[in-house]
Amino acid sequence: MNNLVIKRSQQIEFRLVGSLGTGKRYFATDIPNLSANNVVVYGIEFFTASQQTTTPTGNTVVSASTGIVCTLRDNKKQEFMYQVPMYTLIRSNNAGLIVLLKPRIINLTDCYVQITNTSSLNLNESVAANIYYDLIDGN
Amino acid sequence: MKIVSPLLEYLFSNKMMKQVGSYEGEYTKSVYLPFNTTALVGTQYYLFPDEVLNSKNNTIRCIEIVDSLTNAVAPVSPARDNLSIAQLRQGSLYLTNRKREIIAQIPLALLVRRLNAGKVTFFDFPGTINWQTCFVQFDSLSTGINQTHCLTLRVSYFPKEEKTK
Repeated sequence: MNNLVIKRSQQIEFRLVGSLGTGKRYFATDIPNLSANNVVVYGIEFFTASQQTTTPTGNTVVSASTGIVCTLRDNKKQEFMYQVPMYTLIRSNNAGLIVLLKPRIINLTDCYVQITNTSSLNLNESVAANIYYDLIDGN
Repeated sequence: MKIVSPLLEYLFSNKMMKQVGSYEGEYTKSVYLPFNTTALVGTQYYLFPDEVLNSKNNTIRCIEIVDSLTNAVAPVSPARDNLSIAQLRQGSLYLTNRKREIIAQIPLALLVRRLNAGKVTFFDFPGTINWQTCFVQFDSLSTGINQTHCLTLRVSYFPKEEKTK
């Protein structure tokens, strides 16, 4: 059994803004130091208010994970991880194992979450995750 | 016969993955961050300088946060209570390199071993970690933290081999 090794990590968030609706896409907020096309993501981990109550940007983290699915897009707009339940991507639900991805360059602001069930979710909360990445040049 | 897929081989060789039960580190030590006043939202609480953990001399391989259920009281003087999960989930650990660039930011509660089915969190940082510029920051404090509390980290590491002339 193998587990991820953290080389670099960055917290990302998907803010539930506008209105809450099933099927609606909520995109990841921009993080300038991840915008350059030299970031290779190889792991991702979501968490709820059980692990972190407020993000470093001051937004309340969602308390429920069972009504959210996540889609990641790479820099070719390919949805290489499509509608994966958020619950599946929480480490403590997977015996402590972090989900590994085939390393690839992602387009962060093209990645999004969708709500499948609005219960326990509130407007302006954030769906929070940590991505694990390396730089292309390895530095 | 052992079959290894090219993807697994890539993840192993680039140190992005390792076996769960593998060697954590040659040495391990606990370090403590006692709070001398009531903790505040947005304040950076820097880890104390530690010549052992400064990555110029050592390579950090795993970090575990010890919560109050793992060990109720930290062995510091005067004695302090380790933070509970309710307190830990309000903050993040920021790890920086020698240029003071943040290379990893991880919510504290994610590093509690007992919540991850006993699996520790492995690291393999590029470059060197500057331990005394790493810090903890809280983004909410509805569950207060004060001078009776302490953050305990257990760190496993390898000493770097000295080059002989």
